[in-house]
Amino acid sequence: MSSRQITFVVWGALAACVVAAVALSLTTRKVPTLGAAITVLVRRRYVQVACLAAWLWAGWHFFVRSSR
Amino acid sequence: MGERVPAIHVGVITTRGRLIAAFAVLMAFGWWITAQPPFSTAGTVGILLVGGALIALARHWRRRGAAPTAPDEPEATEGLWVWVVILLAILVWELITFVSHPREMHPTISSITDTLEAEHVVRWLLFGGWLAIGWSLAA
Repeated sequence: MSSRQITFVVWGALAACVVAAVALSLTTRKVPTLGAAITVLVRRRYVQVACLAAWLWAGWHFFVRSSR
Repeated sequence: MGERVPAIHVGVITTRGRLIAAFAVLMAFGWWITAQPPFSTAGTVGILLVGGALIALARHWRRRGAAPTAPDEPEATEGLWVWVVILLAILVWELITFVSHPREMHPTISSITDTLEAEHVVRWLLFGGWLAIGWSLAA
């Protein structure tokens, strides 16, 4: 198995984990929804500021760096 | 029967309507931003303007008490570790692939999405997703 294939397998597994967590959050009450999890995580001011800074950077990274 | 609708509902609908209108304006502006050439100053300023506007909008929305309060019930924090583990795993794997070379053998999230982002419409739709994530972080 090449490094490229391993990388894609891990990305696929992580995507599957996200889908599974979303499904669990919608069908059971054991896992909060992603929205509820984000709300809890950004309760602390410094976490919110760090997340918003990362979000702004991601916007630049995805839409300015790679814009055509 | 129509008079049974409380007046406060009208206020909420109006606020939501304004919010939807503001999102529509940001999305329209996003069409222009996502059409800018790579590494352009106009694109960078545009992203900062949209980001700042969204954060200001979220603060206004929260101050008006229209935003839902943070969930305090145990189920909101009980399974939180699941999301923390998944998000940390994504972050760690992104960092591992980022420092590994060559890029074709170790694709990162952005190198995977670069192919999708070749299309302006797809880039614009992803921009909408970016706005939604920003709103959930700021509101």
